[in-house]
Amino acid sequence: MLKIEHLTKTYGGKKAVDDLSLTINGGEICAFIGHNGAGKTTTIKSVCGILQFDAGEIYIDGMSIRTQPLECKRRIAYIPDNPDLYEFMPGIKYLNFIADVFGVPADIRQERIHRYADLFGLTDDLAQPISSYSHGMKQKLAIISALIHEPRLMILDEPFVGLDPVASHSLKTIMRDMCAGGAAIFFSTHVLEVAEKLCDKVAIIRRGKLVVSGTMEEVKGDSSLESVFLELEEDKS
Amino acid sequence: MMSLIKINLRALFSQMFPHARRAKKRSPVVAVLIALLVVYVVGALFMMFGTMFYQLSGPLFQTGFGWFYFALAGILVFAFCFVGSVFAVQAQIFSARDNDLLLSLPLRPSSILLSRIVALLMLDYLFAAFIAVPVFVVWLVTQPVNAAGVVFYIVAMLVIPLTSLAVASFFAWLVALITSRLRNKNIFTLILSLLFFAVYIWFFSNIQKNIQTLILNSTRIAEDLKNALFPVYHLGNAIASGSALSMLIFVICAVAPFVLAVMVLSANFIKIATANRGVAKIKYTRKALKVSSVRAAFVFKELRHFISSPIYIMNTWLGSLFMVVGAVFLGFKRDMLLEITGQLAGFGVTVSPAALIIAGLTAVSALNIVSAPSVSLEGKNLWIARSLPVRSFDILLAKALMHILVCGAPAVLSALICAVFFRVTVLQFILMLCLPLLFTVFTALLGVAINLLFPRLDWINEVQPIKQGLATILTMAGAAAVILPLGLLYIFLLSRFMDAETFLLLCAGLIILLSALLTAYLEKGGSRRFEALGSD
Repeated sequence: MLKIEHLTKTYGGKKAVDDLSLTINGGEICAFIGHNGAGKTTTIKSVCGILQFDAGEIYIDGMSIRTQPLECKRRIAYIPDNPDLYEFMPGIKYLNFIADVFGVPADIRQERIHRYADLFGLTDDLAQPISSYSHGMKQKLAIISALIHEPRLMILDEPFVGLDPVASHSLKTIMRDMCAGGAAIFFSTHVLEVAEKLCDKVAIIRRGKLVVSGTMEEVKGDSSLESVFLELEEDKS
Repeated sequence: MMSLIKINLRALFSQMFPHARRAKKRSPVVAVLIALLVVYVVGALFMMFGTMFYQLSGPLFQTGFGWFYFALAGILVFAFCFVGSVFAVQAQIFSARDNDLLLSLPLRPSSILLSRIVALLMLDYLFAAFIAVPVFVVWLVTQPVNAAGVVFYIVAMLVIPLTSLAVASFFAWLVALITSRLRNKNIFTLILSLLFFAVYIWFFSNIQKNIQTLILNSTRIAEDLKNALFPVYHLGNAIASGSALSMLIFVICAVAPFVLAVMVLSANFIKIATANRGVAKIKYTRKALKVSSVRAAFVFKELRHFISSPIYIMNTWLGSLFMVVGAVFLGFKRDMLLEITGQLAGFGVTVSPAALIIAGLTAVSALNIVSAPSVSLEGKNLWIARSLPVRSFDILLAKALMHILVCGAPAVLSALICAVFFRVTVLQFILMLCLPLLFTVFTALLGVAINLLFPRLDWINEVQPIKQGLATILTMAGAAAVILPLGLLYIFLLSRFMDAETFLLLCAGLIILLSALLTAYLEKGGSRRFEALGSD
């Protein structure tokens, strides 16, 4: 579903991502772990077609994000680390706008919006302008907007930050259900316990380079993901 | 306390002059242009108030109403400080976003409030200087000056902003109170801004007439003022005659409201800072959702952004307002138009009133720069447009289409109004309808293209890309750079060879060509630029 080949991205002469390669298949959840400034967000934004990169290639469902960006983006949903949404819109208008862009039929968008809004406890607030939302409410709205078109690949940057425990649990359930349906999920997180419990795969990035990737069992073995991560950080420093 | 004052001052000035924060990054050419602009604005204000008071000084001092000269200066300083700082007062005291953070720190609430007040006072002193300096210079040049008068003048100019700040605080509290209870607070803010703007336009467009009225009726007005606003009389009298008693009375009257305001604000600061300003919650009721095409969805999104922001409307759409008001005005002042055509005929340029209207409407449409900050306004939300499966060209086109929509309708309305009031031929009517509309299309595309070349995405407040963005200034200059040479070309050369209507038809052709070129740019190079935004 997602294939990253030798991705390199430079900011002003400094390599933010350096020759990174990674593959995630349909039905897999992959955690992307690394210290602050390691290159997680740059990688994620490159995958989503938000950032242009210097070298390498990114394939989504076999299509290149460089040459077929629209086809790729139709299959993707992206949730950023900071849910900066159109504050001048009420929540429902924003969701309807996203549904318009993805061409979701009226009855289907209606059903999905209300289903997920009910699930995240946001229904009553949908008429409110987004500017009045708390961080958590914006995060929930961004999640709902990402689910409207039933993406084949979901890319999330720190998705659990700001979510209450109930919403966090709901998101994990949705992620598992999506994978059961054949979709792939790639998300960055600093909460290693969540990654350990939720993910099939893990990729650890350090200073732009992928240092370890593989199935959760391969990477952590009998140890915990936290121990592996801390060991890797110590080895490299 | 000093740190707080510095932070507040920096916040205030970075909001007003955001370029100052990025001095190191600025190119020398831009720095020189900005410096020239500042010199021009300051110079123009000094000249305007200097000329105004120069005209007044002679008649007033000669008739023994020297005090009225200073009283007028005091009133103007008060008004200038009030208008200049009232919204800043609201933002700094009643709607400050960092109140929670500051209240959590080991700081006395009174220190937080005082730091904000001192910063606002500094801003007021800046506004006061625009009037106080030229008034002082004119006084020095035209009249004999005594030391006591100079000292009292300086004290008065330092005290007046205190009163202004007190009144502005009351007004800002009233605005905050009303808007907190309104669901459509944007409309209220827009109406209030338009009122301020109308007063501003009225004052400056009638300044000469007002000065003449003042000179002719100075005795009566001075007597009325003496009775109605006695502190203002004492202000003038203190400076003109060096009366210490008058100065004392004025200072007491001017400082008392400030002290009262500070006391009231101090006593209620925590209540003000922690007030929940949320309007009554609108509960969502399920109803059928409207389906739109991708392009329409983006146009509606742009439109919603535009109508939700009084700052956006006030700073980019006034051309349309002028156009409609101007069309109605011309309808009732037809003689004025005939006078202009007569004057032009005197120079050997034959232009029909209708052709003049077409040229006028087209020129006024160049003042609309709605699309010019539209790319910058994506700001932190750029990720949404960039992550969606939409062609960049469609996103850019939606920005231009919104401009065309909000500026095209007033252009058509203005043309219809003019067509009703003036007798026009079919060709003139078509031109009246089409040329301003075509130029609106051109300006819309030009604004997007220029904003792509000079984007500003790192703004904190949307005032920055709208009011102070380079793209908005360049778009207006670019539109003028097309209109002005065409006008001059016709007046000085082509009017001998062709009638105005034929020339306007050729202009229409040129504008269509330029618009087509801009569209082609947006589809190729512009789209590439948009896709590369934020990738550096």
